[in-house]
Amino acid sequence: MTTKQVILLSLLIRLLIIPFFYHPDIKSQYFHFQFLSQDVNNIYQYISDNKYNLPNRDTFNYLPLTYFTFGSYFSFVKHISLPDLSNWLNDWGNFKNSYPNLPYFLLSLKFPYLIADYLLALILLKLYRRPEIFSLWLLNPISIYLIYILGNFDVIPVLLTLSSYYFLTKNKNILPFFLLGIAISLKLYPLIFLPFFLFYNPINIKKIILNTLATIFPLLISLLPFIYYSSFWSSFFGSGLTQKILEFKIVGIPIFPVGYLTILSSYLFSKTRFPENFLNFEKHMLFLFLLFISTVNFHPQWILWFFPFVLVFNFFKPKIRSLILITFLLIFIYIALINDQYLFWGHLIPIDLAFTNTPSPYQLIIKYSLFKPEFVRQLLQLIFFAFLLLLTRFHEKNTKN
Amino acid sequence: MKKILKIKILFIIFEILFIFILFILLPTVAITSRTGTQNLESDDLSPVLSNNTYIQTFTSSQNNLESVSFLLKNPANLNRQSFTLELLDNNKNTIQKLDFNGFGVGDPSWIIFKFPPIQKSKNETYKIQLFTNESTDNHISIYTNSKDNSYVFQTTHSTGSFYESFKTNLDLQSQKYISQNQLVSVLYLLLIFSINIAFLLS
Repeated sequence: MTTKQVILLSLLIRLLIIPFFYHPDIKSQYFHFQFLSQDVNNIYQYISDNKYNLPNRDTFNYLPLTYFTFGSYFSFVKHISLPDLSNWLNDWGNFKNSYPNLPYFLLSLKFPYLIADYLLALILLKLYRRPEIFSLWLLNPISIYLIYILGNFDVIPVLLTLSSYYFLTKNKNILPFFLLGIAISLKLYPLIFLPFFLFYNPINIKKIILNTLATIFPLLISLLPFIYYSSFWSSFFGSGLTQKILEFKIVGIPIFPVGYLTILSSYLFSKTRFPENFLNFEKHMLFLFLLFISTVNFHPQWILWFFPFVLVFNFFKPKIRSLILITFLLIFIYIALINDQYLFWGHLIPIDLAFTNTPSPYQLIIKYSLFKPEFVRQLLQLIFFAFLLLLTRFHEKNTKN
Repeated sequence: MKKILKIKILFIIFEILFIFILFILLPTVAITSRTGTQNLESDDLSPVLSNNTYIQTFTSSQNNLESVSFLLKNPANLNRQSFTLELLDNNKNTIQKLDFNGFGVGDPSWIIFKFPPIQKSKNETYKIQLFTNESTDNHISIYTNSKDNSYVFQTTHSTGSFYESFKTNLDLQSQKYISQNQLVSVLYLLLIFSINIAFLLS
């Protein structure tokens, strides 16, 4: 297929998916983002002051730059979207999802993700110089599910992280780290990648300090006006990633940080000993991904953080292609076993509200079988961990050869 | 060239199939229960006292009535009384009965009274009554609407046979389409149509 055909086909698939698949996160996020258009600059304090008067009493657990970025988008989109978009965002009552124009609200709110998605495909193409990767990114069902069905804004920090990596491979100074800093200012997770980015080039202490400062700079600037507000800190620590990373422990020791440091050490070692090792960075991202899904009780949208790096192996390492494919199939089973109605039939609310009455796989398993879905999920995480061990062994063998 | 044409035709078939599955087949098959009569407005709470009967009358909007739910509140799960819910027909004959314990009531939660579907329930009037014979200091409360002295409740009905479900779904989808903003709907369909054409011609 030509690039034009791939673009048209992928656009068609996206336009058929975007309006008809829903997850409540997009509504709760935009419920908060909309306050920027009402001249609310300190969302944390505003929520704290008006907690009992707001239709949705959730705290805002995201960073200030996220609020200003998507708040600005909402300020623009509310003028061109349907007038009942604001009514829907503020309706948290019994008929909160029975708005007939819900598909078009979703289309307007998910539009920035569409742009980011195509830019991601373009960067992947520039990064790996294989037209197939452009097609694979745009036509694979996993990224479509992660970006448009779950409908979270993670695709924007993912785009910035990948752009940062692209400029890093082009030996640019400061810029990659500044971009990574913006990504971190939108969502903290790219911090996980920071040490790998810092040690991508041969170790130079002065450069490492400068690059660290370039990363921290956007975060500091965006946080500075809020650090004196306790409402900001209490909202900020309400988010789940830090807790989830430390949740899984063996004899009191959290597994993810230990595994993380091991992978980082392996990366540093291979960078020093075998600097020309092909896809070394991506390989370690794959290890990190497997460690993450095997030791963290992850939200499905978090898979997107690693996905662009994992996708590459489909071309360059055919031997591990099947293993990655199996991993993703198992991830979908894992997601289906989460006790959340909105992660299964609930996605189809724009088509028919009655899907909320349809029992999820989790409810069916509880009702008709003796085993607990949580047990199957833990078993799946053990399989992911076994895959990680298998791949590290394979990597070790290949590096020696 | 021929291979590309095959892919294009295959995609168009897949696209039609996808729309058919998403809008017609999936709701027809997967949705087995739909919400019927609802009274969700509430501005008050009434304690459920012993030797009092709390009655709600309703007319079923659909056939195959299969559940009636009340919204109750048991603060801190303190109540452990036995309660009875009864469904009565228009002639005050008990059709179904459910005994439950206050311990199973949350703060708040719906108490779902599910029974085998009543096939010819459409436009029939029923009474649902809640009572307890035990007394306690830790009462559960029922959500009420003081404007018309009604209780918060909702009914569900089974979607019935494949044909019935198919018909209900078609009606709902067409109603939904009609109530959408027509200008945006037409623009959206035009966009989908033009990308399809562009893809076929590319």
